[in-house]
Amino acid sequence: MTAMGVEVSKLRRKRLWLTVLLVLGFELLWIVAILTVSLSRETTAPHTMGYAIGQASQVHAIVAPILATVVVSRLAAMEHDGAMLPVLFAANQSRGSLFLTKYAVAATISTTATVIVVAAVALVAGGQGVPADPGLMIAWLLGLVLANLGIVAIQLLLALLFQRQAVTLTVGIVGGLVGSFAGFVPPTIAAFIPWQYPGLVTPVRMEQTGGTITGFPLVDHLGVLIALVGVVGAACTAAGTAVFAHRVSR
Amino acid sequence: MSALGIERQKSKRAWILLVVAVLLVGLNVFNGAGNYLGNADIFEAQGLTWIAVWGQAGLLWAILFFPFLITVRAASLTRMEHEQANWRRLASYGAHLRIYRGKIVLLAGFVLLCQAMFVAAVLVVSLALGFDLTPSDVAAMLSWGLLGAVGGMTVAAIQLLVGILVRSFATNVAIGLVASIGSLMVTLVAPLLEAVYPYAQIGVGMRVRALDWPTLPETLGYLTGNLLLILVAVFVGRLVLRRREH
Repeated sequence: MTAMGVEVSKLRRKRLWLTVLLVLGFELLWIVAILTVSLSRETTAPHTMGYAIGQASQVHAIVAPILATVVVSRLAAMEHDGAMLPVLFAANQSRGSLFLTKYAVAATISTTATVIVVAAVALVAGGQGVPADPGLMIAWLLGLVLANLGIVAIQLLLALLFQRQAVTLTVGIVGGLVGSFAGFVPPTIAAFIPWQYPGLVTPVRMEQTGGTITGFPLVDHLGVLIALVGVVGAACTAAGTAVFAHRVSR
Repeated sequence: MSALGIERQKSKRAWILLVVAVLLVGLNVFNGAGNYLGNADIFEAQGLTWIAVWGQAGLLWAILFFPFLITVRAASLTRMEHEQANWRRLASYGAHLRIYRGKIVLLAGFVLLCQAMFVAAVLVVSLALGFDLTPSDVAAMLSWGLLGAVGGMTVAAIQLLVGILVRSFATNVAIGLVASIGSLMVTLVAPLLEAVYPYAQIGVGMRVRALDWPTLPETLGYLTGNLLLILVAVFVGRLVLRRREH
Protein backbone atom coordinates (compact mmCIF):
# COMPACT_ATOMS: atom_id res chain seq x y z
CA MET A 1 0.00 0.00 0.00
CA THR A 2 1.30 3.48 -0.82
CA ALA A 3 2.14 5.95 1.95
CA MET A 4 -0.96 7.97 1.03
CA GLY A 5 -3.16 4.86 1.10
CA VAL A 6 -1.88 3.99 4.57
CA GLU A 7 -2.54 7.55 5.78
CA VAL A 8 -6.10 7.52 4.47
CA SER A 9 -6.76 4.08 5.96
CA LYS A 10 -5.56 5.34 9.38
CA LEU A 11 -8.16 8.11 9.23
CA ARG A 12 -11.09 5.72 8.82
CA ARG A 13 -11.62 5.19 12.53
CA LYS A 14 -10.43 8.59 13.74
CA ARG A 15 -13.62 10.49 12.97
CA LEU A 16 -11.56 13.43 11.73
CA TRP A 17 -14.50 14.38 9.52
CA LEU A 18 -16.52 15.18 12.65
CA THR A 19 -13.97 17.77 13.79
CA VAL A 20 -13.76 19.24 10.26
CA LEU A 21 -17.56 19.32 10.07
CA LEU A 22 -17.74 21.12 13.42
CA VAL A 23 -15.34 23.90 12.42
CA LEU A 24 -16.40 24.18 8.76
CA GLY A 25 -20.11 23.95 9.61
CA PHE A 26 -19.69 26.75 12.13
CA GLU A 27 -17.83 28.90 9.61
CA LEU A 28 -20.50 28.38 6.95
CA LEU A 29 -23.24 29.18 9.43
CA TRP A 30 -21.48 32.39 10.43
CA ILE A 31 -20.82 33.44 6.82
CA VAL A 32 -24.40 32.72 5.73
CA ALA A 33 -25.72 34.72 8.72
CA ILE A 34 -23.42 37.68 8.00
CA LEU A 35 -24.20 37.71 4.27
CA THR A 36 -27.93 37.28 4.75
CA VAL A 37 -28.08 40.15 7.25
CA SER A 38 -25.69 42.53 5.47
CA LEU A 39 -27.05 41.96 1.95
CA SER A 40 -30.63 42.49 3.07
CA ARG A 41 -29.78 45.97 4.44
CA GLU A 42 -29.62 49.19 2.45
CA THR A 43 -25.97 50.27 2.59
CA THR A 44 -23.83 53.06 1.17
CA ALA A 45 -21.54 50.43 -0.36
CA PRO A 46 -22.88 48.79 -3.54
CA HIS A 47 -23.85 45.13 -3.14
CA THR A 48 -21.25 43.55 -5.42
CA MET A 49 -19.43 40.23 -5.19
CA GLY A 50 -16.51 42.22 -3.75
CA TYR A 51 -18.81 43.33 -0.93
CA ALA A 52 -19.76 39.69 -0.21
CA ILE A 53 -16.11 38.59 -0.30
CA GLY A 54 -15.12 41.46 2.00
CA GLN A 55 -17.73 40.43 4.56
CA ALA A 56 -17.02 36.69 4.37
CA SER A 57 -13.23 37.02 4.36
CA GLN A 58 -13.29 38.54 7.88
CA VAL A 59 -14.69 35.23 9.14
CA HIS A 60 -12.52 33.04 6.93
CA ALA A 61 -9.33 34.86 8.01
CA ILE A 62 -9.97 33.67 11.59
CA VAL A 63 -11.26 30.17 10.86
CA ALA A 64 -8.90 29.01 8.06
CA PRO A 65 -5.73 28.87 10.24
CA ILE A 66 -7.74 27.26 13.05
CA LEU A 67 -9.10 24.53 10.78
CA ALA A 68 -5.65 23.81 9.32
CA THR A 69 -4.16 23.69 12.83
CA VAL A 70 -6.79 21.34 14.21
CA VAL A 71 -6.49 18.99 11.21
CA VAL A 72 -2.68 18.71 11.33
CA SER A 73 -2.81 18.32 15.10
CA ARG A 74 -5.18 15.36 14.77
CA LEU A 75 -2.99 13.84 12.03
CA ALA A 76 0.14 14.13 14.17
CA ALA A 77 -1.52 13.18 17.47
CA MET A 78 -2.55 9.77 16.13
CA GLU A 79 1.13 8.91 15.68
CA HIS A 80 2.25 10.42 18.99
CA ASP A 81 -0.54 8.69 20.94
CA GLY A 82 0.48 5.19 20.05
CA ALA A 83 4.21 6.05 20.00
CA MET A 84 3.98 5.08 16.32
CA LEU A 85 6.68 7.37 14.89
CA PRO A 86 9.62 5.05 15.76
CA VAL A 87 7.59 2.07 14.52
CA LEU A 88 6.91 3.77 11.17
CA PHE A 89 10.57 4.69 10.73
CA ALA A 90 11.61 1.13 11.66
CA ALA A 91 9.15 -0.10 9.02
CA ASN A 92 11.19 1.83 6.45
CA GLN A 93 8.95 4.88 6.03
CA SER A 94 11.24 7.87 5.64
CA ARG A 95 10.70 10.97 7.76
CA GLY A 96 10.37 13.11 4.62
CA SER A 97 7.74 10.80 3.13
CA LEU A 98 5.72 10.84 6.37
CA PHE A 99 5.78 14.64 6.48
CA LEU A 100 4.79 15.00 2.81
CA THR A 101 2.00 12.41 3.07
CA LYS A 102 0.45 14.09 6.10
CA TYR A 103 0.97 17.46 4.42
CA ALA A 104 -0.86 16.25 1.30
CA VAL A 105 -3.81 14.97 3.38
CA ALA A 106 -4.04 18.20 5.42
CA ALA A 107 -3.67 20.43 2.34
CA THR A 108 -6.38 18.43 0.54
CA ILE A 109 -8.77 18.83 3.47
CA SER A 110 -8.01 22.57 3.76
CA THR A 111 -8.41 23.05 0.00
CA THR A 112 -11.73 21.20 -0.03
CA ALA A 113 -12.97 23.32 2.88
CA THR A 114 -11.85 26.47 1.04
CA VAL A 115 -13.69 25.45 -2.14
CA ILE A 116 -16.85 24.82 -0.10
CA VAL A 117 -16.57 28.24 1.62
CA VAL A 118 -16.01 30.12 -1.66
CA ALA A 119 -18.87 28.22 -3.34
CA ALA A 120 -21.14 29.01 -0.37
CA VAL A 121 -20.31 32.73 -0.60
CA ALA A 122 -21.02 32.72 -4.36
CA LEU A 123 -24.31 30.87 -3.87
CA VAL A 124 -25.59 32.96 -0.94
CA ALA A 125 -24.58 36.26 -2.58
CA GLY A 126 -26.03 35.13 -5.94
CA GLY A 127 -29.23 34.09 -4.17
CA GLN A 128 -29.50 37.62 -2.76
CA GLY A 129 -29.27 39.12 -6.25
CA VAL A 130 -25.57 40.03 -6.28
CA PRO A 131 -24.22 39.89 -9.88
CA ALA A 132 -21.73 37.04 -10.45
CA ASP A 133 -18.05 37.88 -10.84
CA PRO A 134 -16.25 34.62 -11.72
CA GLY A 135 -12.86 36.29 -12.20
CA LEU A 136 -12.89 37.78 -8.71
CA MET A 137 -14.08 34.53 -7.12
CA ILE A 138 -11.37 32.50 -8.88
CA ALA A 139 -8.68 34.99 -7.79
CA TRP A 140 -9.93 34.75 -4.18
CA LEU A 141 -10.08 30.94 -4.32
CA LEU A 142 -6.58 30.67 -5.79
CA GLY A 143 -5.17 33.01 -3.15
CA LEU A 144 -6.86 31.12 -0.32
CA VAL A 145 -5.70 27.71 -1.54
CA LEU A 146 -2.10 28.96 -1.72
CA ALA A 147 -2.46 30.75 1.63
CA ASN A 148 -3.28 27.42 3.30
CA LEU A 149 -0.03 25.80 2.15
CA GLY A 150 2.36 27.79 4.35
CA ILE A 151 0.11 27.51 7.41
CA VAL A 152 -0.31 23.74 6.96
CA ALA A 153 3.45 23.24 6.56
CA ILE A 154 4.43 25.27 9.65
CA GLN A 155 1.70 23.81 11.84
CA LEU A 156 2.40 20.24 10.69
CA LEU A 157 6.08 20.64 11.50
CA LEU A 158 5.23 21.85 15.03
CA ALA A 159 2.63 19.10 15.49
CA LEU A 160 5.10 16.38 14.50
CA LEU A 161 8.05 17.78 16.45
CA PHE A 162 6.19 18.39 19.70
CA GLN A 163 4.27 15.56 21.29
CA ARG A 164 2.25 18.03 23.35
CA GLN A 165 -0.31 19.35 20.91
CA ALA A 166 -0.87 22.38 23.14
CA VAL A 167 2.18 23.94 21.44
CA THR A 168 0.95 23.66 17.86
CA LEU A 169 -2.65 24.49 18.77
CA THR A 170 -1.65 27.58 20.74
CA VAL A 171 0.58 28.85 17.93
CA GLY A 172 -2.03 28.12 15.25
CA ILE A 173 -5.01 29.50 17.09
CA VAL A 174 -3.27 32.63 18.34
CA GLY A 175 -2.06 32.98 14.73
CA GLY A 176 -5.64 32.63 13.51
CA LEU A 177 -6.97 35.15 15.98
CA VAL A 178 -4.17 37.58 15.17
CA GLY A 179 -4.90 36.81 11.48
CA SER A 180 -8.27 38.44 11.97
CA PHE A 181 -6.40 41.75 12.14
CA ALA A 182 -5.07 41.20 8.57
CA GLY A 183 -7.30 43.89 7.10
CA PHE A 184 -5.81 46.47 9.47
CA VAL A 185 -2.16 45.52 8.98
CA PRO A 186 -0.14 46.88 6.02
CA PRO A 187 0.55 44.11 3.43
CA THR A 188 4.31 44.63 3.86
CA ILE A 189 3.99 43.47 7.50
CA ALA A 190 1.29 40.82 6.88
CA ALA A 191 3.59 39.24 4.28
CA PHE A 192 5.85 38.09 7.14
CA ILE A 193 3.01 36.45 9.09
CA PRO A 194 1.74 33.32 7.28
CA TRP A 195 -1.36 33.09 9.55
CA GLN A 196 -2.50 36.40 8.06
CA TYR A 197 -2.31 35.11 4.48
CA PRO A 198 -6.02 34.22 4.14
CA GLY A 199 -6.75 37.87 4.92
CA LEU A 200 -3.85 39.18 2.85
CA VAL A 201 -5.01 37.52 -0.40
CA THR A 202 -8.54 38.87 -0.10
CA PRO A 203 -8.96 40.69 -3.45
CA VAL A 204 -10.88 43.62 -1.90
CA ARG A 205 -10.31 45.89 1.10
CA MET A 206 -12.94 47.62 3.20
CA GLU A 207 -13.15 51.38 2.60
CA GLN A 208 -14.68 53.51 5.35
CA THR A 209 -15.60 57.16 5.63
CA GLY A 210 -16.55 58.49 9.05
CA GLY A 211 -17.20 54.99 10.41
CA THR A 212 -19.48 54.03 7.47
CA ILE A 213 -18.47 51.34 4.98
CA THR A 214 -18.46 53.01 1.57
CA GLY A 215 -17.20 50.17 -0.57
CA PHE A 216 -14.85 47.26 -1.16
CA PRO A 217 -12.44 48.36 -3.93
CA LEU A 218 -9.94 45.95 -5.49
CA VAL A 219 -6.51 45.84 -3.86
CA ASP A 220 -3.44 46.91 -5.77
CA HIS A 221 -0.93 44.28 -6.91
CA LEU A 222 -3.17 41.31 -6.06
CA GLY A 223 -1.21 39.09 -8.46
CA VAL A 224 2.03 39.90 -6.63
CA LEU A 225 0.45 39.11 -3.25
CA ILE A 226 -0.91 35.76 -4.49
CA ALA A 227 2.44 34.87 -6.06
CA LEU A 228 4.26 35.82 -2.83
CA VAL A 229 1.91 33.67 -0.74
CA GLY A 230 2.41 30.75 -3.14
CA VAL A 231 6.22 31.08 -3.04
CA VAL A 232 6.26 31.32 0.79
CA GLY A 233 3.92 28.28 0.94
CA ALA A 234 6.26 26.25 -1.28
CA ALA A 235 9.31 27.43 0.71
CA CYS A 236 7.62 26.51 4.03
CA THR A 237 6.78 23.05 2.67
CA ALA A 238 10.35 22.45 1.50
CA ALA A 239 11.79 23.82 4.76
CA GLY A 240 9.31 21.80 6.88
CA THR A 241 10.19 18.57 5.08
CA ALA A 242 13.92 19.25 5.44
CA VAL A 243 13.69 20.18 9.13
CA PHE A 244 11.52 17.19 10.03
CA ALA A 245 13.77 14.86 8.08
CA HIS A 246 16.75 15.94 10.18
CA ARG A 247 15.25 16.45 13.63
CA VAL A 248 14.36 14.11 16.46
CA SER A 249 10.81 14.36 17.84
CA ARG A 250 10.35 15.38 21.47
CA MET B 1 -0.96 16.11 49.52
CA SER B 2 -4.11 18.07 48.62
CA ALA B 3 -5.91 17.52 45.32
CA LEU B 4 -4.84 21.01 44.24
CA GLY B 5 -1.22 20.31 45.16
CA ILE B 6 -1.27 17.09 43.13
CA GLU B 7 -2.66 18.88 40.09
CA ARG B 8 -0.07 21.65 40.40
CA GLN B 9 2.69 19.06 40.53
CA LYS B 10 1.32 17.46 37.36
CA SER B 11 1.24 20.76 35.43
CA LYS B 12 4.88 21.71 35.50
CA ARG B 13 4.80 23.54 32.17
CA ALA B 14 1.68 25.58 32.93
CA TRP B 15 3.87 28.71 32.98
CA ILE B 16 4.06 28.56 29.16
CA LEU B 17 0.34 29.26 28.89
CA LEU B 18 0.73 32.05 31.45
CA VAL B 19 3.34 33.65 29.19
CA VAL B 20 0.86 33.38 26.30
CA ALA B 21 -1.77 34.95 28.59
CA VAL B 22 0.55 37.89 29.35
CA LEU B 23 1.15 38.39 25.61
CA LEU B 24 -2.57 38.25 24.82
CA VAL B 25 -3.44 40.65 27.63
CA GLY B 26 -0.75 42.98 26.28
CA LEU B 27 -2.09 42.68 22.72
CA ASN B 28 -5.65 43.44 23.77
CA VAL B 29 -4.82 46.33 26.09
CA PHE B 30 -2.42 47.77 23.50
CA ASN B 31 -5.26 47.52 20.95
CA GLY B 32 -7.59 49.30 23.42
CA ALA B 33 -5.09 52.07 24.09
CA GLY B 34 -4.36 52.45 20.37
CA ASN B 35 -8.05 52.74 19.60
CA TYR B 36 -8.43 55.38 22.34
CA LEU B 37 -5.52 57.43 21.03
CA GLY B 38 -6.79 57.13 17.46
CA ASN B 39 -10.21 58.51 18.44
CA ALA B 40 -9.17 60.61 21.44
CA ASP B 41 -11.09 63.71 20.33
CA ILE B 42 -14.37 61.74 20.08
CA PHE B 43 -13.86 60.02 23.46
CA GLU B 44 -12.85 63.29 25.16
CA ALA B 45 -15.97 64.98 23.79
CA GLN B 46 -18.03 62.15 25.30
CA GLY B 47 -16.12 62.35 28.59
CA LEU B 48 -14.91 58.74 28.26
CA THR B 49 -11.49 57.81 29.63
CA TRP B 50 -10.50 54.38 30.99
CA ILE B 51 -13.89 52.93 30.09
CA ALA B 52 -13.11 53.38 26.37
CA VAL B 53 -9.90 51.37 26.83
CA TRP B 54 -11.78 48.75 28.89
CA GLY B 55 -14.49 48.38 26.24
CA GLN B 56 -12.13 48.04 23.29
CA ALA B 57 -9.56 45.85 25.04
CA GLY B 58 -12.20 43.76 26.80
CA LEU B 59 -14.30 42.90 23.78
CA LEU B 60 -11.85 40.57 22.02
CA TRP B 61 -10.39 39.42 25.34
CA ALA B 62 -13.80 38.34 26.67
CA ILE B 63 -15.11 36.86 23.43
CA LEU B 64 -12.04 35.20 21.94
CA PHE B 65 -8.76 35.25 23.81
CA PHE B 66 -9.75 34.53 27.42
CA PRO B 67 -12.09 31.61 26.52
CA PHE B 68 -9.29 30.28 24.30
CA LEU B 69 -6.82 30.31 27.21
CA ILE B 70 -9.33 28.60 29.49
CA THR B 71 -10.07 26.02 26.79
CA VAL B 72 -6.40 25.13 26.28
CA ARG B 73 -5.77 24.91 30.06
CA ALA B 74 -8.85 22.74 30.62
CA ALA B 75 -7.98 20.50 27.66
CA SER B 76 -4.42 20.08 29.01
CA LEU B 77 -5.74 19.09 32.44
CA THR B 78 -8.08 16.40 31.07
CA ARG B 79 -5.81 15.23 28.27
CA MET B 80 -3.14 14.03 30.69
CA GLU B 81 -5.67 11.68 32.30
CA HIS B 82 -6.71 10.17 28.97
CA GLU B 83 -3.09 9.17 28.34
CA GLN B 84 -2.02 5.73 29.57
CA ALA B 85 -5.55 5.12 30.86
CA ASN B 86 -4.97 7.40 33.86
CA TRP B 87 -8.70 7.84 34.54
CA ARG B 88 -8.89 4.06 35.01
CA ARG B 89 -5.86 4.02 37.31
CA LEU B 90 -7.29 6.87 39.40
CA ALA B 91 -10.68 5.17 39.58
CA SER B 92 -9.07 1.92 40.70
CA TYR B 93 -8.17 3.52 44.03
CA GLY B 94 -11.14 5.89 44.13
CA ALA B 95 -9.20 9.09 43.49
CA HIS B 96 -10.84 10.16 40.23
CA LEU B 97 -13.44 12.47 41.81
CA ARG B 98 -10.85 14.01 44.13
CA ILE B 99 -8.58 14.67 41.17
CA TYR B 100 -11.51 16.19 39.27
CA ARG B 101 -12.07 18.54 42.22
CA GLY B 102 -8.39 19.49 42.16
CA LYS B 103 -8.62 20.30 38.45
CA ILE B 104 -11.64 22.56 39.04
CA VAL B 105 -9.84 24.49 41.81
CA LEU B 106 -6.64 24.79 39.75
CA LEU B 107 -8.61 26.05 36.74
CA ALA B 108 -10.44 28.56 38.96
CA GLY B 109 -7.05 29.88 40.08
CA PHE B 110 -5.93 30.18 36.45
CA VAL B 111 -9.11 32.07 35.54
CA LEU B 112 -8.62 34.49 38.44
CA LEU B 113 -4.96 35.02 37.63
CA CYS B 114 -5.63 35.78 33.93
CA GLN B 115 -8.42 38.16 34.85
CA ALA B 116 -6.23 39.88 37.47
CA MET B 117 -3.56 40.39 34.80
CA PHE B 118 -6.12 41.98 32.48
CA VAL B 119 -7.45 44.35 35.15
CA ALA B 120 -3.91 45.28 36.21
CA ALA B 121 -2.91 45.96 32.59
CA VAL B 122 -5.94 48.23 31.97
CA LEU B 123 -5.17 50.03 35.26
CA VAL B 124 -1.52 50.61 34.32
CA VAL B 125 -2.34 51.73 30.76
CA SER B 126 -5.06 54.06 32.06
CA LEU B 127 -2.57 55.69 34.44
CA ALA B 128 0.01 55.88 31.65
CA LEU B 129 -2.53 57.65 29.43
CA GLY B 130 -2.95 60.23 32.21
CA PHE B 131 -6.52 59.42 33.28
CA ASP B 132 -7.55 60.54 36.78
CA LEU B 133 -8.85 57.29 38.25
CA THR B 134 -11.27 57.77 41.15
CA PRO B 135 -11.82 55.02 43.77
CA SER B 136 -15.15 54.41 42.05
CA ASP B 137 -13.36 53.77 38.72
CA VAL B 138 -10.99 51.30 40.35
CA ALA B 139 -13.94 49.63 42.12
CA ALA B 140 -15.70 49.27 38.74
CA MET B 141 -12.61 47.68 37.17
CA LEU B 142 -12.23 45.22 40.06
CA SER B 143 -15.94 44.37 40.24
CA TRP B 144 -16.36 43.89 36.51
CA GLY B 145 -13.13 41.91 36.38
CA LEU B 146 -14.41 39.66 39.15
CA LEU B 147 -17.79 39.22 37.47
CA GLY B 148 -15.95 38.32 34.27
CA ALA B 149 -13.96 35.73 36.23
CA VAL B 150 -17.26 34.15 37.35
CA GLY B 151 -18.20 33.89 33.66
CA GLY B 152 -14.74 32.44 33.04
CA MET B 153 -15.42 29.76 35.66
CA THR B 154 -18.57 28.82 33.77
CA VAL B 155 -16.54 28.33 30.59
CA ALA B 156 -13.91 26.43 32.60
CA ALA B 157 -16.44 24.03 34.15
CA ILE B 158 -18.02 23.30 30.76
CA GLN B 159 -14.66 22.83 29.04
CA LEU B 160 -13.55 20.42 31.78
CA LEU B 161 -16.70 18.42 31.11
CA VAL B 162 -15.98 18.47 27.35
CA GLY B 163 -12.44 17.34 28.13
CA ILE B 164 -13.72 14.39 30.14
CA LEU B 165 -16.07 13.37 27.32
CA VAL B 166 -13.76 14.00 24.33
CA ARG B 167 -10.36 12.38 24.25
CA SER B 168 -8.74 14.39 21.44
CA PHE B 169 -6.96 17.55 22.57
CA ALA B 170 -7.45 19.23 19.18
CA THR B 171 -11.18 18.45 19.09
CA ASN B 172 -11.53 19.75 22.65
CA VAL B 173 -9.91 23.03 21.67
CA ALA B 174 -11.95 23.20 18.46
CA ILE B 175 -15.19 22.78 20.42
CA GLY B 176 -14.17 25.48 22.90
CA LEU B 177 -13.16 27.88 20.13
CA VAL B 178 -16.27 27.36 18.04
CA ALA B 179 -18.44 27.85 21.13
CA SER B 180 -16.47 30.99 22.07
CA ILE B 181 -16.67 32.52 18.61
CA GLY B 182 -20.34 31.55 18.75
CA SER B 183 -20.71 34.11 21.52
CA LEU B 184 -19.69 36.77 18.99
CA MET B 185 -22.54 35.60 16.76
CA VAL B 186 -24.93 35.61 19.71
CA THR B 187 -23.84 39.14 20.59
CA LEU B 188 -24.38 40.38 17.03
CA VAL B 189 -27.38 38.35 15.88
CA ALA B 190 -29.38 37.59 19.04
CA PRO B 191 -28.24 39.82 21.94
CA LEU B 192 -31.10 38.56 24.11
CA LEU B 193 -29.49 35.10 24.19
CA GLU B 194 -26.34 36.62 25.72
CA ALA B 195 -27.83 36.21 29.17
CA VAL B 196 -28.06 32.42 28.86
CA TYR B 197 -25.32 31.46 26.42
CA PRO B 198 -22.51 30.08 28.64
CA TYR B 199 -19.60 31.26 26.51
CA ALA B 200 -20.96 34.84 26.41
CA GLN B 201 -20.89 35.11 30.21
CA ILE B 202 -17.37 36.55 30.43
CA GLY B 203 -18.32 39.51 28.24
CA VAL B 204 -21.60 40.03 30.09
CA GLY B 205 -19.82 40.00 33.46
CA MET B 206 -17.08 42.34 32.28
CA ARG B 207 -19.70 44.74 30.90
CA VAL B 208 -17.67 45.09 27.69
CA ARG B 209 -20.70 46.15 25.68
CA ALA B 210 -22.91 47.77 28.32
CA LEU B 211 -19.97 49.65 29.91
CA ASP B 212 -22.01 50.60 32.97
CA TRP B 213 -22.78 49.16 36.40
CA PRO B 214 -25.30 46.34 36.37
CA THR B 215 -28.40 46.81 38.53
CA LEU B 216 -28.72 44.65 41.65
CA PRO B 217 -31.30 42.31 40.05
CA GLU B 218 -29.03 42.00 36.98
CA THR B 219 -26.06 41.13 39.19
CA LEU B 220 -28.03 38.60 41.22
CA GLY B 221 -29.48 37.07 38.04
CA TYR B 222 -26.01 36.86 36.49
CA LEU B 223 -24.45 35.26 39.56
CA THR B 224 -27.32 32.80 40.04
CA GLY B 225 -27.33 31.84 36.35
CA ASN B 226 -23.60 31.24 36.30
CA LEU B 227 -23.60 29.35 39.56
CA LEU B 228 -26.31 27.12 38.15
CA LEU B 229 -24.36 26.51 34.93
CA ILE B 230 -21.19 25.71 36.91
CA LEU B 231 -23.04 23.34 39.25
CA VAL B 232 -24.75 21.53 36.37
CA ALA B 233 -21.44 21.14 34.48
CA VAL B 234 -19.65 19.87 37.61
CA PHE B 235 -22.54 17.55 38.46
CA VAL B 236 -22.56 16.05 34.95
CA GLY B 237 -18.76 15.77 35.03
CA ARG B 238 -18.88 13.83 38.30
CA LEU B 239 -21.70 11.68 36.96
CA VAL B 240 -19.76 10.81 33.82
CA LEU B 241 -16.64 9.96 35.81
CA ARG B 242 -18.62 7.84 38.27
CA ARG B 243 -20.59 5.92 35.66
CA ARG B 244 -17.86 5.50 33.07
CA GLU B 245 -16.65 1.96 32.74
CA HIS B 246 -13.00 2.45 33.62
